[in-house]
Amino acid sequence: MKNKRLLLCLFIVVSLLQAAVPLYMAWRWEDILQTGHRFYWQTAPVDPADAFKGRYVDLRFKEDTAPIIGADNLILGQQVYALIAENAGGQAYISGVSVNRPEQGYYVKVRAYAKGPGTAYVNLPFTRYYLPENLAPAAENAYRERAGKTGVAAVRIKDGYGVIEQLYIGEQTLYEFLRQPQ
Amino acid sequence: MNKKAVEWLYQQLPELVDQGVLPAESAERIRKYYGPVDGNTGTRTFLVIFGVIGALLVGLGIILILAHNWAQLSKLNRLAVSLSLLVAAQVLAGGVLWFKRDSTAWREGAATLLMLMVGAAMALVGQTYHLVEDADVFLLTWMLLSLPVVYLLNSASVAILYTVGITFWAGSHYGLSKQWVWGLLGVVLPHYWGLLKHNRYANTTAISWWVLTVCFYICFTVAFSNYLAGLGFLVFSALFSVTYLSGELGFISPDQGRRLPFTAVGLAGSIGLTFILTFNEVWRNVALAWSSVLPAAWVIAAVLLVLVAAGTVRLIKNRKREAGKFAALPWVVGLAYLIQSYDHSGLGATLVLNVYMLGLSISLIAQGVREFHLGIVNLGMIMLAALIVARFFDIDVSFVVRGVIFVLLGIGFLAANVVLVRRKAGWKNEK
Repeated sequence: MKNKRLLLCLFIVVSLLQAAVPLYMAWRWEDILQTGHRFYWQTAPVDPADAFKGRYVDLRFKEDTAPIIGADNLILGQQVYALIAENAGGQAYISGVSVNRPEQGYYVKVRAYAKGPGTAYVNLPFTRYYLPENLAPAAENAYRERAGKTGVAAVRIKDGYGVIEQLYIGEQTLYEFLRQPQ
Repeated sequence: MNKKAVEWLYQQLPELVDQGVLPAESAERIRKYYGPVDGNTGTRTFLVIFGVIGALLVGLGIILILAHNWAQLSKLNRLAVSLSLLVAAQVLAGGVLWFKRDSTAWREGAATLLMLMVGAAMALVGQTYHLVEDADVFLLTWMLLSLPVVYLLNSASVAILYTVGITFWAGSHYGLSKQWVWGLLGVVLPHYWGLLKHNRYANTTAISWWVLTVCFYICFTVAFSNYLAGLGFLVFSALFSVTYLSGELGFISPDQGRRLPFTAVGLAGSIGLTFILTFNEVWRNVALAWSSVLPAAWVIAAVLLVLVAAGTVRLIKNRKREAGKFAALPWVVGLAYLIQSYDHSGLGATLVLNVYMLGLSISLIAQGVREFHLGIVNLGMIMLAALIVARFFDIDVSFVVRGVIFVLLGIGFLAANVVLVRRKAGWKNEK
């Protein structure tokens, strides 16, 4: 009996832990969405599927290279900090890549996958936008048909993390664009 | 004594008593000695299997439905859905833990569902916020959160899923941190060990150990493949030998270990590797520079060879000398490596391996004939045939070498035949 109680108590502790993980994840990302700074990125999407999470638009960002700031002691695959800035047209770009955490400004934790002389190539961590499965193919077609025109992603950034808030095609959000008669 | 034999004996008893072969008291004593035969195990096994498959289907179905990405649901609603599914699975598992702990089917089913719901809750949050976690971070978190369920609900199905998940994690991982896989496998080992100790003949134990053995080989390959350059064949031959020896040594009679994977995996691996190494092409690509072998590879090889040596000694002590011929492979490969370091053409090493495989197949045929065991005879024959066919198509070996090997093969074959014919004649005389 005592043994059974102990087992049940342990089980309840494990259960709380199991529930805490998704809760904490949700809280952290919601906080970034609510209080992070909004940036607009130029994108070029395609549409694959994830077995667990359904269909998404896979985003590729045009800007993935930046000068390395400070000493050139960057190891490939290492976690580095990409400094985010806006150009005159209000578009976000990576102004530099640093091995050390920046003191000020907005930045995202990224991995450097290649480097040239004085520049680094990085993968931005927010490259997916999940959609209801019936909309995903239409979204993909919309992007294909308007090949000359690229979409824009609104991204919220805070403390080194970024969350995609919205995708735009031209002036409309992706959902508005898909709802209008094609 | 296995169950089927006891059942058969019980069926025979009434007839033996009727015919006056056994007195009725003796029959009763026999029944008392062996105890009742549990006829329900079949049904129970089916219940467990269907319970687990049912839970798997329901869990995966829920994950797929969530993956539809319901645009109508607000973020809060999505979180509520995923959490309530998780909590429901937890309540079910907790209830089973409290009220139904003796029912294997309930335990396995509830534990499997709980594990899937833990993954589903994390995946749904990830989907809501368009997260691109590395697949391996997601997998690792999921597996570690599921691990306590293995022990709390004593669930073999969750242990199997955990083992497979960890193997995937190791496969999708780069760099030195791969070595964590040993710790992650280590924490689930007590469960597997317990199965072997307390439930050696159960189907669950056999299935679990098969999965663990296959996953172990995959993890070993993934974790060490970068360090084994040059010593790979030696290390793997030793690993197969260790697996085979643990199968031969761990059980009092071969029947007991028959359904466990050790002997089968060890034998299949040893024979397959031996056959591959009889090709000259393979050895010519082993351009072995001793200096380029990493210390890690030496350590791994040394540890495994010590284990093989210790196992072989115990095998000889246990009077199981017949089994020793398979465990000789690592030493043969080691000798071939030594020859290879002086003779880079690979001819010497190829010759050594061919001679070993020839000797092995002939000795198997002889053993099969001695023990009247057709299976062993056939295994030997198949190996011999494979060897002959392979050598015939080795265009790359010079005619002289091919000729020599064929002559040796022919002599061996004739010698084996002579021995067999003589033995057969001997049996007839005895009869």
